[in-house]
Amino acid sequence: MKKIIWVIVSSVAVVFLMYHFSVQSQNNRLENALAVQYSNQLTSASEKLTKLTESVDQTMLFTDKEALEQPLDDVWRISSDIRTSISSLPISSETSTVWMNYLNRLGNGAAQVKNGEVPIEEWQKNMVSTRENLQALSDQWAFTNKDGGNKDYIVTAFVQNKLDKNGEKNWKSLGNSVKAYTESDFPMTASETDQQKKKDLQHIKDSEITEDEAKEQFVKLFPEFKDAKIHITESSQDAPYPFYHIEFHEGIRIGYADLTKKGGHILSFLLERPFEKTTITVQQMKDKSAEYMKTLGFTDTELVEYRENSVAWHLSFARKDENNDALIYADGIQLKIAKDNGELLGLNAMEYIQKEKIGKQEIVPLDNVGLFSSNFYIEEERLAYVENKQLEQRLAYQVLAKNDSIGTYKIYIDTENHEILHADKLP
Amino acid sequence: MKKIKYILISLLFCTFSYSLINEQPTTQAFSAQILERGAYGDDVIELQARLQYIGFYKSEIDGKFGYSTYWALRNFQEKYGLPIDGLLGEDTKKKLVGVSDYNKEFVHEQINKGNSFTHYGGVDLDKQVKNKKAESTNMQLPPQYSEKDLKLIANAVYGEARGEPYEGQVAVAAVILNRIEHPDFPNTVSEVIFQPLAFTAVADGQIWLEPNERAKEAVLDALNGWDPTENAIYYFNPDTATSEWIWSRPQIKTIGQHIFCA
Repeated sequence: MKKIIWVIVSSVAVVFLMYHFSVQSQNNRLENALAVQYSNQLTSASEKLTKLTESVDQTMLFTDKEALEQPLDDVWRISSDIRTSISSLPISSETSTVWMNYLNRLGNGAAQVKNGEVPIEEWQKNMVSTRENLQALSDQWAFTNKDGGNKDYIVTAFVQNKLDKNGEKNWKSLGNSVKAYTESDFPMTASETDQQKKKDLQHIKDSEITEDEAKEQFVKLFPEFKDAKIHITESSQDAPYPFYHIEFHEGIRIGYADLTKKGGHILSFLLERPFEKTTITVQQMKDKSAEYMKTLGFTDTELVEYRENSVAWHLSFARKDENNDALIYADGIQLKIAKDNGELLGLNAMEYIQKEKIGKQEIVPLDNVGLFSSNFYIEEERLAYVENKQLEQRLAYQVLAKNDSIGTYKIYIDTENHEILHADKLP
Repeated sequence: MKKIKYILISLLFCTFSYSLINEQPTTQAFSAQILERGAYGDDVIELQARLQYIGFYKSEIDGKFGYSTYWALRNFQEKYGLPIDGLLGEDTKKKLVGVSDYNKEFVHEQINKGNSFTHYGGVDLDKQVKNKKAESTNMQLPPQYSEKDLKLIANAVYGEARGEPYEGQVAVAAVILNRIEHPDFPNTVSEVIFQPLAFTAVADGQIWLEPNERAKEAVLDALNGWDPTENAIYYFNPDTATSEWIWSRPQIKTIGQHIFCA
């Protein structure tokens, strides 16, 4: 009898434990799904707020009606979009209403300026504090995981809040409100990418090189790896353009280089190694980069920017049009140079291989005074080729404009019809 | 009487010497580097703090020599009759150190604590510390990307591929960026990463692990244009993949444990 009782008690205990762990595991999965959903909504709202701030900033750049049209439209559109995002967040209704009204006024204000009901000067005056409010909220909602590995602290609070409100411990009903993701949600439609540069690479007309020739070409480009252990594989048959993948290993250095099969053009090169704490000077780095570009045969380029980080500099070069010295950004090359000794750590020349076809274009003088707000100062002007909305390369005035509170902008204005092609805020 | 005089003079001398020694640690000089736009680090922090001390620099002291620092430096050079080149060379350093002050201890303490602060001269330093600022990665990125992008992609790369070679980590970051450009995928970093079942690290919660410096460096390379996948938009581990469909994608190359597909 005792044995039977013992077996029954043990069985009940085992069943209870199994049930407990099953429920626990299900709860964890649901909690994670909910956290992912909230993280997505919050981060997405944060990204949209940053976009909105950028659009608001652009409405402060110009006084010209045509130049203002697009940024004002963007403010109206994005503010409406964010209102939808905010309404789905589990924040207090009071906070939600305050922000929804604020964004509503902002969107309406942009529409009124566009329709000529409110003077642009008044709008620009009001936007000085608005942009700061928007950026502050964007920062607050950005994706973050504090305390090493814990879920986003705001998201955790949201999840807890939802749990408390429901007063449930097993998350059963919450499971219905969280989308149950299945295999069917996996994106099934993947068309061929339509990036122009990739199409260009498919059309290289050079003759194919062999694996041995690829190795020779690699050693010619990077002679310091002539004794490295090299392993070469060919791209898969389905690859949009054929290339050789060269993996190399020499002492503390390990990396890869991709070369096109047609012509053996270098696509990219990257190596990893430990770093010393020493730092070469900026001038030494520039001299080294010029030397690398010459050795690699990229002599028709100009250094357009460089950024120093903890272990390396990242440099960007653009091809220069031999007729008018205009920069052709689409034919760009990037280098990565080690800070400790100036060694070439990376090269990306994928965009440079097939050069853009540049047509002739009229240059009509630009009236900066009528175009820009009076509190923006034009510091530099030169010519550059950039893409318009129809993905055509257009010759543009590259104008560097600054304002003490809004920041510095690089604006590209079509030389022929004076359309604003791009306005990029610079860090 | 002579003894008292001697003691008084000695005391005065000691006090004067002490005050000099005590002041020294707060007035740090720059290193020998010539700084210009694009630079980063302690010298830039000192430059920004000194320019702010005398009212030329109004932005955040973050050690990144961007355009705000550049214009502030040029304005300083103009005011003090120096060549206006936006470079921090020897003459400009000398002049700047002469007319400004720099409390290194205070500035670095605030940066390490992640506080929002200023370093204006003539204002009590305690009153110049505000609340915590947004999390920063201390990395200089191409203008089209934000620190928030880097942070989120680094979390995804670390969660997805921390055991992969460096090239494989750059490749995962590149796939995320390729998806943003691709018409079949969402247009923002967060929407791509949080797309249902797109990334295992999101489904199993590893997205919230704190990424290491290697993952951040890999993302930095991808943001700067490197794409070891040659334009892939999918990848999978052939040993663990459960989806039959993924095998139907046109394969491009294998890096580490992952096959990258178009």
